[in-house]
Amino acid sequence: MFAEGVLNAVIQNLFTLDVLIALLVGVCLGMVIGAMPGLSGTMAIALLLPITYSMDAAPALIMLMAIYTSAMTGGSISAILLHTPGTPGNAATAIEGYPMTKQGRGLEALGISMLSSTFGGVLSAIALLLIAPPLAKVSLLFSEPENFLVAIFGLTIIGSLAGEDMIKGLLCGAIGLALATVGIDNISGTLRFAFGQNGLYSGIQMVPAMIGLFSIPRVLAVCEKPKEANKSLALESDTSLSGRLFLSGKEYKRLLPVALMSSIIGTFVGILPGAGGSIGSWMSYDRAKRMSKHKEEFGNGSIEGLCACETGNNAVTGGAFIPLLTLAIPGSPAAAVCLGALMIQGLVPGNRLFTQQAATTYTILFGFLIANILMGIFGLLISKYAVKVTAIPNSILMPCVLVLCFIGSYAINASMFDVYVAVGFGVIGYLMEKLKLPAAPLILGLILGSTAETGFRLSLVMANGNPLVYYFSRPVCIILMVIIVATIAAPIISSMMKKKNESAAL
Amino acid sequence: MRLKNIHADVFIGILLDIACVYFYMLAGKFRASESAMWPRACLIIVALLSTMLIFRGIRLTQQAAKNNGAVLTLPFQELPGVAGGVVMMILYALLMNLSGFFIATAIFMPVGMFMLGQRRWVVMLSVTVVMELFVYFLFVVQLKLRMP
Repeated sequence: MFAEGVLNAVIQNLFTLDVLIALLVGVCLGMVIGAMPGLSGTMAIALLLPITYSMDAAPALIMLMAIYTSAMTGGSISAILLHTPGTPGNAATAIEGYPMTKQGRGLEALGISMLSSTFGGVLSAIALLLIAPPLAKVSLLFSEPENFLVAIFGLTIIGSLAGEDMIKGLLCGAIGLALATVGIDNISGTLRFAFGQNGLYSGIQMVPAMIGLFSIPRVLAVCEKPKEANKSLALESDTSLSGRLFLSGKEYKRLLPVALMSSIIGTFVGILPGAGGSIGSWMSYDRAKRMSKHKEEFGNGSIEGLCACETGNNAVTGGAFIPLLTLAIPGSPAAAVCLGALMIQGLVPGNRLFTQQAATTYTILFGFLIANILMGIFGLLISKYAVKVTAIPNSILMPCVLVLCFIGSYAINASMFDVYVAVGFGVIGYLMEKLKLPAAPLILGLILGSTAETGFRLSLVMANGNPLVYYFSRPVCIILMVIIVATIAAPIISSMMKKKNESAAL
Repeated sequence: MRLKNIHADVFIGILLDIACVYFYMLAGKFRASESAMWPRACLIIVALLSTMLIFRGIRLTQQAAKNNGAVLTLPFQELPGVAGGVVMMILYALLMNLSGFFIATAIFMPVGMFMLGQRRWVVMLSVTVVMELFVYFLFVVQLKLRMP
């Protein structure tokens, strides 16, 4: 798969103190944050992004990826014990996990969740290791016109899948593109929309914008009902645990096909840009229900159902990084934030990642694989205690989150202007959440905007005044344009057909 | 028709359309005219999608009026609490700028916790001290950050 020299470098990089600390911090933090309903992995990644500035690329990315996958697993703890999914990807878990807790099988449910998550995560990491390098070679065929179209493809697909509403998704993506034009123009050096503010000369910084859009709205949501902020979930529920942690060999044998099928579904869903852990989890759950010989158990604490959800949502994490590392198209909002982290570390998605920067990239990928294994071990050890973190009321948690938001935004350029940017984006993010406008496409527009603009303008120069002929003379461009049109048209056609069928049925 | 019965998408669309017109005109004043092409293209797309949002919002408002259904409205009910939160954030940022991070945080954290219903002073003070120490060791000692 890769040269021996790279393998040696990967082994050397992996077993350094920095990487081991990054792995441990990522797994522990991800697990704890995931277990807290309302705090998501995306938010944790955005908050920790400034801390990774001073770190090397490998430990920084390993920590963020470990948080992503562990948060998904941590979310199952509160879903199983409190019937409150820690992350949206754990909603299906609550359906099977909580009845098991009620039946006195809470510990058994946690055991299944941890092992299934590890299985899904490890298989998706292997898929990432196997699929990403050959796929990255496709990027060698890319020049400026293709870069432009790939950026647009990323936006259209996120726009159609990130929320329930395609117009709003596309609108937010376009707003992100417009916001990316603030600051000095890369090509002509002209200052645009800076309003005399020095802080805007280099454009809107990604990190304060991400912190603002993903973290501050959580704080403001708690401010809606300040009287309820001092309540704690764990104290309101009975979280006593009993039962066994591990199943019998026969039961594990029964779960193996479910876990395998869910891993494949989850990884595939992860590769589809915009489809996050919840879709992977629900699709795996549905498939397991159809395949099961014990359909009557579903909804009443089915071990197959629980295994399917947890394997499916964790398998999404590895899958989401396949289009991200190869074509700069993130598979989920958390992956979109990781794209920002990659760029900050000077790692540009594409073939170069797997050739010139192979040692760093493979260290990150193997680190992700190890993070998934560590997550399982750590989860089995601490899961029954991790639920205690939900005893921390929001009245304590939210001021701490806000302090971290502020210092995180400030840390990028040691500039108070970035703190104000985070506050501004926080208010915008809160309103967007209330008005059902998805934040992920906006961030993606902001990240991809510069690539799209440079690609578009340079391709116009390369086209010598005839862009249409130029674009249609390039086979990769034609394929990308067809994919973009199909991506936009598919949901419209599907919704039109659904309406037609409904009216025919009436 | 009362304002609260109009779908929020109508207001979002109008606001964005106005912003697009303003920024489109502003782009005309750029030193190099080719620098305005891409921002203007983005603004036209935003304006088109916003206009679609307005029309859809109007249709949904009419449908809701016909069926006595509810529409997505601007979040006015939650406004007092959220406005309080925003004011606290701005004051914290300003105080941070004036007095420095550690003093501002020492004031903001207990006040913030108190406003959210926390009444145990020992908890409030210990969380504040732990947070200050955490930030100091991570950002000042480790990352050598020049604090505000």
